Amino acid sequence: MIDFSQSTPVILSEVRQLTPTRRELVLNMGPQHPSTHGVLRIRLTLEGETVIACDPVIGYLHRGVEKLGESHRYAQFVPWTDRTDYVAAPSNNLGYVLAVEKLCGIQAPERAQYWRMIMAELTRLASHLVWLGTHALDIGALSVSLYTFRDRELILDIFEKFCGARLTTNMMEIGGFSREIPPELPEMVREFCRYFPKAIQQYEDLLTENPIWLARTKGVGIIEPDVAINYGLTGACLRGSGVNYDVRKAMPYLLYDRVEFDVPLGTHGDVYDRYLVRIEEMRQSIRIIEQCLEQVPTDGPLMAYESQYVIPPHKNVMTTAEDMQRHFIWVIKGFSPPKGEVYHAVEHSKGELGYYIVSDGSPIPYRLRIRSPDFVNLQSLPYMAQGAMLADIVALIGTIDIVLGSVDR
Amino acid sequence: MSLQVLIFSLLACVSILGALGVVIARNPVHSAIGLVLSFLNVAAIYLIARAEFLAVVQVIVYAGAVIVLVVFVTMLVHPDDLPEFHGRRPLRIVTGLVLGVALLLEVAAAVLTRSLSGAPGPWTDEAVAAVGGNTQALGQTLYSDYMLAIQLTALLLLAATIGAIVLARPEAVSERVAAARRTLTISLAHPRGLDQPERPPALPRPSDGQVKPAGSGRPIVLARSANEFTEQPAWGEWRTP
Amino acid sequence: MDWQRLLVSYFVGFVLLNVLLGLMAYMTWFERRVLARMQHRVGPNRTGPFGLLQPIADGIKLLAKEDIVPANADRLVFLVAPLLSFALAPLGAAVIPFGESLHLFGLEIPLLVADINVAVLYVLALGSIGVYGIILGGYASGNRYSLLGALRSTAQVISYELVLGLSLVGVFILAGSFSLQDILREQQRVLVIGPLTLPNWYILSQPLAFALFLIAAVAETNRAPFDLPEAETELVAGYFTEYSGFRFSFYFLAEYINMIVVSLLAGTLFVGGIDGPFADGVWWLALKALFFLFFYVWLRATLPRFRYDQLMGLAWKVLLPLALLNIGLTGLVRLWGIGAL
Repeated sequence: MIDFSQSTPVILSEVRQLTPTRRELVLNMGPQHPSTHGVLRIRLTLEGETVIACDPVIGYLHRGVEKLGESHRYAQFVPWTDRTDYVAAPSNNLGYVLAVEKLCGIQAPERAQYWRMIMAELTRLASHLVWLGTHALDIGALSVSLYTFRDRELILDIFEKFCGARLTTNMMEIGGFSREIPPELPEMVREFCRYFPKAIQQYEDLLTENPIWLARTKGVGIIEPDVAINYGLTGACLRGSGVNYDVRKAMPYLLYDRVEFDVPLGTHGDVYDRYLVRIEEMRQSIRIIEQCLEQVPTDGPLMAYESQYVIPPHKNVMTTAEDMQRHFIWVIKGFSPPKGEVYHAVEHSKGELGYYIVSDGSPIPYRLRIRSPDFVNLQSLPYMAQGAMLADIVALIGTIDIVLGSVDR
Repeated sequence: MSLQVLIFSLLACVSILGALGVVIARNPVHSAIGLVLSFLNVAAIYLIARAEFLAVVQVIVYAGAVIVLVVFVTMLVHPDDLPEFHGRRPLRIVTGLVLGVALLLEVAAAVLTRSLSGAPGPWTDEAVAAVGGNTQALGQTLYSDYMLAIQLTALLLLAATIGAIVLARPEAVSERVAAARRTLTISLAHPRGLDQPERPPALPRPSDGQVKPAGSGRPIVLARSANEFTEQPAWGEWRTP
Repeated sequence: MDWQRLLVSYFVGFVLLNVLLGLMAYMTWFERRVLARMQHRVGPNRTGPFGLLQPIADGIKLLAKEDIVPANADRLVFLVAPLLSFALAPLGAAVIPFGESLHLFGLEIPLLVADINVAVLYVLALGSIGVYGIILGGYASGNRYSLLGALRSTAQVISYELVLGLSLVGVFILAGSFSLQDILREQQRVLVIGPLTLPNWYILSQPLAFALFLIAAVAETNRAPFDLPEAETELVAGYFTEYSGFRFSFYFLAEYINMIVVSLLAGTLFVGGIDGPFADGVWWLALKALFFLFFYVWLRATLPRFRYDQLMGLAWKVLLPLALLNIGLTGLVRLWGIGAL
């Protein structure tokens, strides 16, 4: 194990106090800038084109999502999770819904769990496609972004078929799914799985062996494994540095222990390794989706039937008195989970996404905290940026794969 | 002929105005623009004298390279660090005047003796036409009569280049960057600097299918369970349970 | 008689300038359509048939926009810089021979504006002044992104101009002249090697110089993958970040005119210009230039952007030694080899 006694803490205050000398130039990158992926602002101190200091300033997209969570009933907060990481909405839903289910002690039926996995992996693909497109665009490869967005449309079509929405899907519900799976959906997903490996090959043909791409990514933004652990990085940022940590393997949720997949690890910890890791993750996601489609039962319940916490089926509401009353209470007053606190993490496309909920027994969470992976990962930017060139900064922002909605919340 | 004189006068006037601009302008970039203007007009005067090669070289070397570098440096340097050009220092003014007048006299003397004596050089119009033009004539003269001078100039430029490279070694940058880095580095186990070579790839030793070539000679390690490769103390030392 | 020739020259220049401006407008259309095809898109197709009126619509839009001067700009320089870029760009086309003379109305009309005996150097000199438009524009904007763009551009243009110039020296040695007319005439000879009959195009005898010229020309015109001065993902728009309206369009147009001129130059210097397998004429030059322009667009669709230090490293550590090597080899061949052939 790493000897943490040898480590010294980060002194961020000292970084901020690097006042520019006369030879240096302070460049304010953002919040309006084409490649800060939204409204990130970076205060760069440059000497020529070499970055002396880099100071990310966040908060331009802060909407107080956590505070909103403390004033909404449990079921009402699901749409808000869409709006944190808006390029991977279903994964956010999943993290929150699983946390609430853990709090209430309920479990979705097997069929719903498989479909949750399929949707979560499709989300990972969609998110990685946005990452790949914008990352390549930042480094100047114009066409890749259009190819990735072309293929992302197919995933969004699947989402639309499944739940009617494309971007902010509000897909997962507490307890499972209340609507039936559209009958043509499995074939749509299968068709996509047949097509997508060819698309990955296409991206790789354009980038993986491209000398300019290699020059721009190899040896740039190296994070050593211990540094990555100390920063608390997760996701591809951590695995690119060769640390084997994937929530799906380490703390399996849903039915990830029933499918076979590998966790790709990098060997050098640079931008190129994180690129390779994410590309391989896309292949593994396809593997997971295919296995899920094989294993998922064709029929069976999609919604848990727990009298207190889950919205009753529509048919029962219309026919039985008890369910009609429960439905009324559920809608008007909300449900009250037991007292206690709970943390549940899922492997989001960007890393470990955790929801921490403190319940005081009322229908509204006492405290809701989102551990968003990009917020934590973004902290490694100053470490990677020091001594890099100005042009590397955009590659580094791209390699962290941030979505400002999730960073600021 | 009168047209030529007219054009020459115009060019000469603009050239002098440009030169004046160099001296008068307070902004160094404006000075540089004045100098470029002056140089371009001189190039045009060469053109009138049918010295096309000289004109083009004047533009490429002086306007295109030397002044560009001047502007480059001016933009890089902080305005406060620039020397004060317009201070009222009597000594400077006197020195400048004396040098300027001396230069003027020299040029005048040279021009006057040349036009007074009127002795034509070896390159008459016929001689130039015989070798195929002005450019060819210039080339022949430079590379036969003045061979030694050319070689010496080349040597001088080479020395200057080497000197520039030695002076511009990027030490100053890396020191400060390294200092800033030290502040940020979390773990002392792996100090890093700018000049460190890329670390050798660290691979798991056993297991065949777990190392997958991914691209450009770079492998990707595929972990099958959460327990693999978890005890890696540093780069290069991968252990399996 | 002199006056007449001068007037004819002016007339040819006027026609050429207008053709060039029209071509440049349609170069933007060509680039957008080709790029769109390469990226699974349609491209402009709403304004006129196949979007052919799009450049005109763009032009009107840009001309009608407000001309904004930032408060802390160096006003005069800011206003003049784009004009400088734009005015210098088409001048290079003046020395490119578009064919033999025409005989119309009893006049001899040369399809060449100016026959300068240092034509190629003249084009290089134009390039070296053209960079002032970029430097001064970037400096005068009073914006740090613009300044960085201008600095990058300066360093890049100086380095690549060197490579561009040196890559042509091999051609000069073989042709024995700086004049494009002479170089063209030299290429119209036929080379007979054994059973093969080849045109004496310099792409065959100077392949290395051709490759170097092509790379350096892309860098010299600030196009992808060397478009660092305007790298939009890092420097927003580089040196023209603060420009709007028609001054912005001047920079844009200058870039496209430069591309066309460089393509014409490449066509003339290395692949025989107006020389073709049959029916020699200006169409062959147009075809060759079109191929080079397509190459530009192709590069932009395919390649990522270099980093600043890599760009400079490439110029000084790879291209420059190769260019010198080429000169040395060509010189040796010229000295001893010509007699043997």
